[in-house]
Amino acid sequence: MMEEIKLLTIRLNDALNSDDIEPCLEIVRNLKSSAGEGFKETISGIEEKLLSLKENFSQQTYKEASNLVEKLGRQEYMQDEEYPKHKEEEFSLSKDSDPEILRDFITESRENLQLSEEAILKLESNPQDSESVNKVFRAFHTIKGTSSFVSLNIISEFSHHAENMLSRIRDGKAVFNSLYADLSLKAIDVIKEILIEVEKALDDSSYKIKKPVLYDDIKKKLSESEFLTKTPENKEEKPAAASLSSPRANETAAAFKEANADKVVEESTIRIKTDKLDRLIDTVGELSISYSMLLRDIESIENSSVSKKSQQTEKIVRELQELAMSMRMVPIKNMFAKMIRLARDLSRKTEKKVSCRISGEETEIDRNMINIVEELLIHMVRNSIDHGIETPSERESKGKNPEGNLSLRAYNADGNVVFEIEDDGRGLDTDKIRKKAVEKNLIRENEELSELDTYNLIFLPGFSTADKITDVSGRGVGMDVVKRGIDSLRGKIEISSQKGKGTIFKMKFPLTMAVTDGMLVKVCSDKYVIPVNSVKILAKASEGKLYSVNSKEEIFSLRGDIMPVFRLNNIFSRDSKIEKEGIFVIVEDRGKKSALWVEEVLGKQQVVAKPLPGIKSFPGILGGCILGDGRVAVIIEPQNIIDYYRSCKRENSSALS
Amino acid sequence: METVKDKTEVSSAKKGGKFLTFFLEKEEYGIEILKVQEIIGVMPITNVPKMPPYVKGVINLRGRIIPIIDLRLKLTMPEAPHTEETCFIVVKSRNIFIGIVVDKVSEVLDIADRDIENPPALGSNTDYILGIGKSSDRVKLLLDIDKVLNDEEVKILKEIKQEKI
Repeated sequence: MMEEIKLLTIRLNDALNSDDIEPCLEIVRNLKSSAGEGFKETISGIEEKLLSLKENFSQQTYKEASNLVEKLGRQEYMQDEEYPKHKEEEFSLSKDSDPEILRDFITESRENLQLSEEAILKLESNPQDSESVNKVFRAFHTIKGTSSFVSLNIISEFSHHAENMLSRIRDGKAVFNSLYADLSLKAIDVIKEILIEVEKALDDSSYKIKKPVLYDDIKKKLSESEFLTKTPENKEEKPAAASLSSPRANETAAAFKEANADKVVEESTIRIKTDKLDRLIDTVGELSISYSMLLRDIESIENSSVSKKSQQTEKIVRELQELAMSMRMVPIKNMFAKMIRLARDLSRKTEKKVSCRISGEETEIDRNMINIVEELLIHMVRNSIDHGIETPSERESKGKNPEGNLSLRAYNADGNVVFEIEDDGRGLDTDKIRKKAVEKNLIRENEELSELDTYNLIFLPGFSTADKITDVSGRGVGMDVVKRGIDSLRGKIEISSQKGKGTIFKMKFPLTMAVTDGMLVKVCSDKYVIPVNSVKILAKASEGKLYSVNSKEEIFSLRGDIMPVFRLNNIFSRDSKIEKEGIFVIVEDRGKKSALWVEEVLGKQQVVAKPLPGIKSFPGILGGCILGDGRVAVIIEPQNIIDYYRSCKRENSSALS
Repeated sequence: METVKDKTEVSSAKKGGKFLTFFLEKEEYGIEILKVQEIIGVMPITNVPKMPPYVKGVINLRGRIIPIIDLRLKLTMPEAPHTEETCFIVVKSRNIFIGIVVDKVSEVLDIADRDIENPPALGSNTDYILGIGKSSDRVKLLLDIDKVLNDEEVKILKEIKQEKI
């Protein structure tokens, strides 16, 4: 667009001699169709003036026209104030854009943004770190180049301004301070937002890409930061970068594509579609399971050659499985980097001082779990900063360092991944929690609860102790969401806290969701798999005592523990012939035990969890798996099934009364 | 039986083409062959709790778990015990593999567009009938399998697909 405006200026000059307005009009017509909403008015104004010039040339009109052209140039340069941010432009992806390339562009840009985000945070603590400045600069430059390559001018234009701002820092014309950091981080957010929009447009061709609300505002700030102290060098750089569709821009894009390709070769990695990888892991899982079935038959053959070969194969199969699994494991580094950014933003917003430390960022986790874990961590970090850590003055009055500490730790333990979120804030206030829980009718006033039970109350739906609603957290949906997320990953959460000293949340997850240690149970001739780590203990009916309550409900007493009984056949509305015997699968949730009755426990087995079509409506079913005999078994999560059954019954009984 | 010549006249927009025909009770039905993935014999079905009656459960199709729908029940006919001739036809409907239970698979038929009549206005809902195919002396009810499994069901099934753990 800048190029065209320049051309227009030249042609307008020519017109003084030649009296020919037509070339100018042509450019204006082009501009009219290509320019954004904000420019329409000025362009129409120019067109009007030009048309009247064509009719009757007058100095006055000519001057007006050239003034308008100049104004257009300014507008293009810094998105005139006359067109404030509320104007939301919408556009669709151009029809000839290649979705494959666009998706690559999105992935690549996200990586670049991630890198620059890390670098900016580093820069903030050490403004002299020239390597980091270069990193950020390169990231924006690449994004600018590639986005113009895929004709996403909305991004290239934007990153161009960001790049200019950064080039000043790189050239030592400005010192990177927190204002710059804020601006760059916001710029990253805006681009991220656009990328999400583009992604949506890729999935749905009718989708209109919306300009982020902050777009104009940030772009203006970016360009102003340069505008105010503009130097000749910068001005020179501008036209080249602004000519987005010029061959040179494409060249830069290509050059950077190449540069990236080099990088990939260096690291020797390739990108694979995740569904392919998932299928590979599934298939290898199947292989190892069916092989273990085969092994049982082989063991009965007494032939040393066969057993030797089978041992060999077993080793290979196991290795294959480990390898396949490791392919889906990714370090949590990026996730932690996001948390540092989050902590930084939140501490600004809440006007608290927080120093965030991380450790164990090399810990790996199944990439299919990472999104949920990330969401959980976001919740927890928000929670710690908003509710846990006090304001600097409050901290000082308590004799603490005004700067609060937030530590995120990750490590592996007993085949689990553990995340710890520790803050040195005010700690959980058991009295306050109790009061709140009574208020919300979650417990009775005189109910006796251990410290741990009290802490666990915060995971109940609708519980929030924040005195006021802030936009950081405290809408009464916090910890119950966390709890549900943890459940969905078959994880556990523990709290330890000391009033006035701080709180530690400890979340434990299995390493992977792909292979599950399952317990095969039988009810009414159907087999189900229950994940072993969901089970507390197993007990035969004869080990304890069964009592009926109200002749409808049952309770089971086992070594002094009394727990409600849920019969799996009742939950699934089926009849069982065996009533008195059978096995109780005992589960514990937040210190409360429940007994799930099944007819028989058939043994332990590793299974590969797969999505099960047709079961969305029923919570507690985790998926399906294929057993050694080739049949499918449904995997159930006992606690969720019990909770679901309970809530159904409660609804029924309240409907009756 | 229609000649090959007819087939060339059939445009994709029209209804004619190859159909896999099968029996339910005494009625003969047809599904577009392009929707059919394969035909398999009866295999043990795993019951999934809390499903509508016509969802018989799920099976293992070479490592892929697919739902099985009893077409008799879906079309409100009485359920019948499986015989040696009972088959599962695996269809791909809106990107999901689904097995449907039929009494007996008959043949693959070429039915020209002009031999397909619009479904008659019967009392009951006939949305899922693509048309009535005439071939030799018999008529075949040509099913629109995407509509047999109505939107709601496909939505449920789709959601499941996305809900990968």
